[in-house]
Amino acid sequence: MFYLKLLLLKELKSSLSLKGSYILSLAFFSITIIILPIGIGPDKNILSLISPGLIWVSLILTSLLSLNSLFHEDYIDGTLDLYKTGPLSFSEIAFVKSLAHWISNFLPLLFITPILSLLIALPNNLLIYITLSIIIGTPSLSFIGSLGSALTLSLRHHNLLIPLIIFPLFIPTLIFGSGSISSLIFSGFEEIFIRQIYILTGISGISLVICPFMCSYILNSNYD
Amino acid sequence: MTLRVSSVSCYRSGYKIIDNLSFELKAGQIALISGSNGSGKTSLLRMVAGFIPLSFGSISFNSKKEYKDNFFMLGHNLGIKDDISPEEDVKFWSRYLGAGYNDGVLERVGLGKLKKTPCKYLSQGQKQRLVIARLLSSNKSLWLLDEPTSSLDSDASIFLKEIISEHKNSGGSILVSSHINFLDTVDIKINLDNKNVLS
Repeated sequence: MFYLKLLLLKELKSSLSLKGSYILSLAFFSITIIILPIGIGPDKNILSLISPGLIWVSLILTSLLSLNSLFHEDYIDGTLDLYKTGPLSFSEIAFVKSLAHWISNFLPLLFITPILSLLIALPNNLLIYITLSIIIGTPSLSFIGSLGSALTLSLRHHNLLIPLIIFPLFIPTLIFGSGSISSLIFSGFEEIFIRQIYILTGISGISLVICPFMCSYILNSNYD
Repeated sequence: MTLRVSSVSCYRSGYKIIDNLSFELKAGQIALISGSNGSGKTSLLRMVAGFIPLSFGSISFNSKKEYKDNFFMLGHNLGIKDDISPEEDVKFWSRYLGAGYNDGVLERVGLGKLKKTPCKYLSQGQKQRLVIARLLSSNKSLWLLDEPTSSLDSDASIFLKEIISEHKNSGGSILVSSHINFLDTVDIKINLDNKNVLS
């Protein structure tokens, strides 16, 4: 547990530094949400119709920005070699790195989502539900995304491959993430929202448990 | 405490790089791997470290196939992050590799005045000194050193030679690759060009 905490602190310190990826994630997420109303026009009906999907598509695109460097940077500069000689296994390292990715890239987005939701005509009374669906759904993006990062570990031109590999795996999160918000906006049924949240919890929980082990297998096979 | 390399062969991209190599490195011994560029010096060290799989043969340390807690590898890529200071770097790696942080280690390698400076401002030689500080803090019995003098100035090379002999005298083992022989005494010479192992 000591080593997991030590590694998590190091990863968080580096990703939450001034040069960390969280600033890029915040900027990218904000810009995606801001430019859409400019392009579509100020019609509130149209905006609220597409806003749940827009939020989740933006979250997915945002995750891709930083997933590129999840393992590749450490592999290229030799840090992964040193991690490998330490007490943690690759599955533990993958777990910590994915967790740090989620904390540093998705949690800051929760602070700007209330402001951005005004721009896309999301009802204010639903903010708490939107926040809940983001908190519960986004861990799956970090953990599933780590698989793409591990698969392209030793490839030089890996940036375009990661989206191709992992976009299909993000589809369930996208369906139930945007579906949960849509169910509240259009049907107003909390029961349907809760069911979708349960499914999102399941997806995140399963990815949290399985993906680090899959990552470990992939990293060991790709290590050269 | 013996590193035993038995009939090891290594293929990379279909080419045989190391062919049927065997040697034993005992406690208090230094083995020097020499050879021309591409002869497999780094591959051999990375195989011993378990970073690349063996095509044939076996490697064990104290008769164990899993020995990652027993060695420290100094490779070409130093794993130094730009935004952290040498002090933070050595503190993290000494704790992560299971040893305590020794306060004077950065002074010992000549980085005392730069211990709070972000690593991006260090020269390549100073970065190499930082990795030597990690090596000294790691408290491992087997040192795997890949071209350790490549970016060092003459003073630092002499210092490295001293700490290698200290480690040898305290019962540690060193497997070092270098295209020049910078060490005064070597117990085993492994020449990968003509596949010679001389004890």
